[in-house]
Amino acid sequence: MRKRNVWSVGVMVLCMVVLFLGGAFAEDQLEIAFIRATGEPYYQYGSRAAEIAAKKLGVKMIVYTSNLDPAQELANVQDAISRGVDGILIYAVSLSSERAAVDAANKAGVPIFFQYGYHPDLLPKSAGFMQIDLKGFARPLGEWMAENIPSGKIAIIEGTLGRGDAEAYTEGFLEGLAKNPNIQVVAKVSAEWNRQKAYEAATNIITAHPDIVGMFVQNEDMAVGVVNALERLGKLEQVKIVSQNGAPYGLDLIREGKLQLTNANPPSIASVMALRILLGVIKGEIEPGHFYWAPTQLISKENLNVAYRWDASEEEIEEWLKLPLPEPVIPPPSS
Amino acid sequence: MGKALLALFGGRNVLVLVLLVLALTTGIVNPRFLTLQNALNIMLQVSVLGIVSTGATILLISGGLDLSVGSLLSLSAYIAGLVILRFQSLPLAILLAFCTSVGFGAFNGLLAATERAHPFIITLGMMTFLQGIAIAISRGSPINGMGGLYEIIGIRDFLRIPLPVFVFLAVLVVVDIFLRYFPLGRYAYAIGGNQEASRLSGIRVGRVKVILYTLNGVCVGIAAIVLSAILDSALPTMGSGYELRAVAATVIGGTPLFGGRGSVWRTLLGVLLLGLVSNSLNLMGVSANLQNVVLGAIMVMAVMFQGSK
Repeated sequence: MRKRNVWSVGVMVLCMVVLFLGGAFAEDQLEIAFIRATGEPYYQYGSRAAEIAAKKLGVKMIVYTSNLDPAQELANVQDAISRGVDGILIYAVSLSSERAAVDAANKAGVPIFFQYGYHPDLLPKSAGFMQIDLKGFARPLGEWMAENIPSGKIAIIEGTLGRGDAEAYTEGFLEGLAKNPNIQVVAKVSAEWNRQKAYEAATNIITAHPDIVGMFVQNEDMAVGVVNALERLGKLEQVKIVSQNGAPYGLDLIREGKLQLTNANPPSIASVMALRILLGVIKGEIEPGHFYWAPTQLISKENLNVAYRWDASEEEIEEWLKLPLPEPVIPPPSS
Repeated sequence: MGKALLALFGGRNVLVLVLLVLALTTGIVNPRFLTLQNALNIMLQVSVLGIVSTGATILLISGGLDLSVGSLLSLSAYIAGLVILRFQSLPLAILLAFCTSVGFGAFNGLLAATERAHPFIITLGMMTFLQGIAIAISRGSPINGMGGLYEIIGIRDFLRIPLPVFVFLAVLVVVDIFLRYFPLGRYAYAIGGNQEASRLSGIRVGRVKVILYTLNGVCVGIAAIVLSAILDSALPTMGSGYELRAVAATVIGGTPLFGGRGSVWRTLLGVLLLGLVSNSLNLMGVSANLQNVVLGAIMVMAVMFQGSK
């Protein structure tokens, strides 16, 4: 019993010391939580660019990862609020499920800005949303294939199904492809955004359809796997590949002529712009609750040098801080 | 010296010690950690994992295992969402979600009772199967809005405590009573301890297994409703990963993988440890790239100490 009392008193004293010390170390610097969906390269580059920009703007940034789990994402939002951040910048895990995060942030009076996860009902309660039009993003790739392949069989290597993005990309691509009725989609395989799985998928597709002439690969990480498989099978010359993202390894493939076209949505510049808008909202300089299109860029061998790089240097990011902010979309998209 | 330390801090005591050290360290770095609001956050954050882990505890005690709980959670929640979308009926949605989780739970039990393969393999297959169904019926589209479930459970507090926390605690108490005082609960320990001896002593092992897997299905159904209420949405992959985290929480708590021992209160400690680590790393501002390293190291240490008891 006496030992227990000593423990209890010890713990209480420690807690008081903790509270005292914590108060003494309180800082005045603005602090932003950057919550990314996963630790995959796309989000890594996004958080890296935002961290560099934050440092240059004199803002402290804490990075959290949600591991593609909506419950973990909400937990991260709650933890960030508990930590006492001044604003939250979040790469949404899914295309929905953000209501709880918005409500938690609103309740605590913390501005929250979303990259992806747009829902019109949540827009007025948020600092803003920024994303691409998923279907519209993939549509030009389908159109390019419709124009550049007279006829034949093509395949689609999709990302992870079940979150809505891979499905939307496929839908948009098929809309663009519909301009050429002589092209036939003979295979749709999910490689779950994974290079190794894409390698296997491409090998299987070529085995089943040796006369395939085109492939739409939904990200460049998978495109690397597909290119390796086609090279090994001696089919790379025969197959035209289009992809998405504009990652460093994707641009390398374009430079080498192995990937014909990509639609880039650089997480680096998008995150920097999103951070600037969020800071503007926090300081009362920008009206909250607006929707913005994320920057995108179609890249082929002809315009490789003008791409916003994922792995932008500190100097490039400093230049982005001087660029005009994207204009809000008025009226915002209905869905 | 080593043995003395293990004697002092072995088993559950070490978990309490780890929890305490973690809490104090985090409190030093960020005093907001030691607020009531943050404690409630942690409880809310672990409530769904806690419910799933409680079901996992029943199975692990009996020597069973279900790796399909994450997929089943996704499917049950998605079916509830579909019903709300089509028929705008919350009671029907909850009923069908439970029918799904209980039905597949019982089916898993029937497969496990045949003893033609280890539950690990059976439920691994079911995990893929159920995830496939969820993705096929959803075609990838998440469902936004759960027809009032968010307002009823997801965001409602009672005495400042979020309602999902009460649901979790209720599940814990009910399962604890079941395991302690019901013959079926005692049979779970007996089967986990020695299946053949249990059979020879007259316990109908197959039947008990079906009932235990069905109860696990009930827990998954409750978790599906609570998670979709908290998020106000249903996604075909929303339960992904819960199967392993539930097993991890249960084992960290002190229920061995090979059965015969364990309790839901130990599982509560395991669940709290996982929730607390994640929360404190976030509050201390530990780099996202390092968080999994720290979390994994703490999990291994906790399990090693449990094993040394």
